[in-house]
Amino acid sequence: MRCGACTNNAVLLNPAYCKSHFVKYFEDKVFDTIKRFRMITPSDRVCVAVSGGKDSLSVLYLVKKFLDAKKGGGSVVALAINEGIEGYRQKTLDDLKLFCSQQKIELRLLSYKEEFGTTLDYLVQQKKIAGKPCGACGTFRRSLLNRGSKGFDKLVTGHNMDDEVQAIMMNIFRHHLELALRSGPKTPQNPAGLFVQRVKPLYFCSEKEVRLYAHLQGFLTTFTECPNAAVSFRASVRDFINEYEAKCPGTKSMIVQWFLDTIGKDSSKKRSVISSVCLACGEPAVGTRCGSCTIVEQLRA
Amino acid sequence: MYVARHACESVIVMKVFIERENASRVMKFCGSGAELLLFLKQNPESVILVKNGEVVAEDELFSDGDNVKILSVVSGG
Repeated sequence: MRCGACTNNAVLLNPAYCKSHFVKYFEDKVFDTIKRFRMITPSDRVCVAVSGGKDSLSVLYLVKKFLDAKKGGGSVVALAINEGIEGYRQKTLDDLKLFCSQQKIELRLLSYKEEFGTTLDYLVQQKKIAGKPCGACGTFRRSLLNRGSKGFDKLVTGHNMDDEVQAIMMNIFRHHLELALRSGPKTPQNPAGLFVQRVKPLYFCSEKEVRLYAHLQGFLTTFTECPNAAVSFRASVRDFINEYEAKCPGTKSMIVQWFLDTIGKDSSKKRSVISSVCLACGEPAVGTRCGSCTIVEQLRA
Repeated sequence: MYVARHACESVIVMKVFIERENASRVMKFCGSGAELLLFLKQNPESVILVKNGEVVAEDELFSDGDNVKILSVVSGG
C-alpha cells in the first residue's frame, strides 16, 4: 500500500503512512495531546519517568523537543528506577545512560535497594509477595517517582494507549472505581501539594505506533521484557485486547474515548483526595502507613 | 522447513527471525506479510514487520532470499 500523503510505500496500514509521514503524524499527535490537555507549559521544570524502553525514550525525546521549540525556559530531567531485577534492568539502564548522554539530558537514578533496603528479586522469593510481584513493584515505583519528582512542575510518564486501555479494563473487571477515577491523561493537582501533577503525552498513541516510532528514530536495538510480566493480570488482559483489536480495528481508541466521555469526565471532582502522610516516611498515605512502608514492615515481620 | 498451507504458483525460501522468541527459521512461503503472521500465529497488533532492514506494512509480498524480522511491540513490564 502507498502512503496516504505521498507515493512512497507505507510502513503502517492504519493510518497508511510512509516512514517520514508516520514520524510527522506521530509527533503531531503527541504535541497536540500536550496542548489539548495543557499538560506542559513552556516554562515548566519537567521530570520524565524513564525505564530505557520504547515508551519512555520516545516521550523523553519528544518532551525535550517540545520545550526546546517553545524556548520558554523549561527544562527536562530523566528519572529512572532500578528495581533490582537480575538480567533485565541493567541492560535498559545502560541503553538509557547512553541515550541521555547523546541527548544531553540529566539522568537521576533511584533504587529499591537504597530506598527500601530490598530488591524486586528478593521480594519475588518471599512467600508473602510471591505470585503477585507486580503489585508490590508498582507500589514501590510510585513512591520513588513521587520522591524523585519533588520540586518539579510536572511528572511525565510514558503510558501509551494500550496501557490505558488495559488499566480501564482491569478496573472494570475488578470493580476498582476509585482507581479508575485516578487514571486519564492528566492527574489533577493535589491541593495539599503531596503529589507532582502527572501527565501522559502518549495517551492516544498505540503501543504499536510507539514501537514503530522508536524503531524508525533508532532509539531501540534490543527487545526486553520484565521476567515477572508473564504472571501479571495485565499481561492476560493485554493479550485478550490485542486479539480483539486485530478482529475489530479501532477497539482500543473506542474504549479510551468511552472512558474520557464517562468516568474520566471531570473525574477530579469525584475522586477522593489524599491529604495525609505516612507516619513512618512522611510520604502521601491513605491512613497512617503508605503502601511501601506496609510492604517493608510485612517483610520484616 | 515450514511450508505455508495455501496454494502457491511459486514458493520462495526466506529467513524469518521472531524477536520475542529470539529464534530464527528458514521457511518456504508464498503470501503477504499478513498471511505470514497468521501462519506463524503472530498477532499483527503486537508486532512490526521488517524486510531486509526496512519496516514494511502487512500487505508486503516477499521474494526469494528475503530476510524478515518480526519485532515485538510489547516490552517492559
